[in-house]
Amino acid sequence: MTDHCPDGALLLAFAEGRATSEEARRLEAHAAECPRCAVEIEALRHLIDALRTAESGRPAATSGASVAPGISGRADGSCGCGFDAWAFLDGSLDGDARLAFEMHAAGCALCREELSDLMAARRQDAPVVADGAVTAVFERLRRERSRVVFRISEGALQFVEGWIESAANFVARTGFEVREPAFAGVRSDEPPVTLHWESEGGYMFDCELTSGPAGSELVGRVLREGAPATDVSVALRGTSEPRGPESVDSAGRFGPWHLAEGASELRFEALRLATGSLAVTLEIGADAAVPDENDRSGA
Amino acid sequence: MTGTSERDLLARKLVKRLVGGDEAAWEEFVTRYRRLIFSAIHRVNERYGAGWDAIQMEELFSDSLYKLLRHDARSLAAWEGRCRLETWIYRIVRNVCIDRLRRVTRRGEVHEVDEERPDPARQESGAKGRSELIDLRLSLEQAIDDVLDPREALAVRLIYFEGHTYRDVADAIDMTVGAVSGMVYRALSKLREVGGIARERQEGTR
Repeated sequence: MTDHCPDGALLLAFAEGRATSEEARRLEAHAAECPRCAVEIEALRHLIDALRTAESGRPAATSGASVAPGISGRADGSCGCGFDAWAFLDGSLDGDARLAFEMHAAGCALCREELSDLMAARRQDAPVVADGAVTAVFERLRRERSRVVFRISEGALQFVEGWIESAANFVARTGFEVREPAFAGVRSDEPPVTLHWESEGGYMFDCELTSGPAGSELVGRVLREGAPATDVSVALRGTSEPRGPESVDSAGRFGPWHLAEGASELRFEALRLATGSLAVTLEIGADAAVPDENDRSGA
Repeated sequence: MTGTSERDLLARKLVKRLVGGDEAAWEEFVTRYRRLIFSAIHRVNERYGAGWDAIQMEELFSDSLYKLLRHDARSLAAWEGRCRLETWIYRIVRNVCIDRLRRVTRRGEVHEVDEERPDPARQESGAKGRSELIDLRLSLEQAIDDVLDPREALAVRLIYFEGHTYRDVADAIDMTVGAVSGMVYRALSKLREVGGIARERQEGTR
């Protein structure tokens, strides 16, 4: 190339088809006279073609036992570096922090992915979802506001073990005998897990643990014959390990739900997501508040 | 222009209202972040060849928004301000999408998705197999790591592997489009010098 040759940025723009029509006309004329620039443009085109072709060489997310490398990372979705791509994009990082992020993102596929996706989200032509989808979510949220909720997504086995233990608790606390315990459809890692048992006291208990797109859900009911004149409460006590930004630390009690005097059926439901494991104890008793062990010992 | 601290303050106030059960804040949240949420879903779909159609992506949007707002926005309440709220939201949405992808993988719906994935090289020559594409990608990734400085490497990957425009990249790394173009030209020159990649490619396609 000579002093009269276009600079590299313009050659690149031409090779990529980004040059204006006027620039393109001048470059074509120049390349016809300048073999070095013609070769340079051709070489750039081949390299660009290789790069763009290689884009589709990303390991597929849906191939093999594990998902693509970029999908890995911590449970909170970050690589753990502490950098914040949005802060980088909105210009709130100072010079040193910007440089540090650039250096990190150049070598970190997960942060680069995050940066790239957030760049796309900031574009004016980013896709927009229809209003109907938003409205439907709002309606669902309103319906569920009164629900007692908790989370489980893994550890179905622990859940069942906890449940079996709860049956023993029930017997010990109430004096009822479990007449016909039946653990139907229990599998260690594949919900739904269902449980059904009946007691001498005329109580029948059903529950089902399912795992769907929104997470795991526990739905249960307590039935009793003859609508006896006593109050009964149902409560869940769960412990779980938090996992991810959507998770909460929880070691708590859910309920109690009250089966009022004269009523014969109580339904309850609970929903929770993304915990590492869960152990649940269910208690049914005449005590309205389903007291702790210490409370009961004093009764 | 709204300053960083003011933006943070607004975000914190909004989250506080959501956590406090203020339904009016739902609308405000959606107005601010629906584009971010939906865009993140599109990006996962494109990047990992998930093959989701418009209806599935709307479902994922619903799942994501529901996850963000349910139980008085518990997932947002866990935001401690160590990153921007936008980054936090993005990560949650991405996790929703990745969970969906993993479920599909476990169910063995893999090949159907892969078969539907556009393959430019196949369209171009009909001869390049997927393993060759992966090899090409790996050799280019290695060359990028070996010879480019971090900013050059970032720009090249964002433009050629992530499909961003020079304007996008210029805005992101706070340079002019011309400066990015010059930098990328220098980066490509370095890549050509080390690997003869263009030459190999040229010979391979003849």
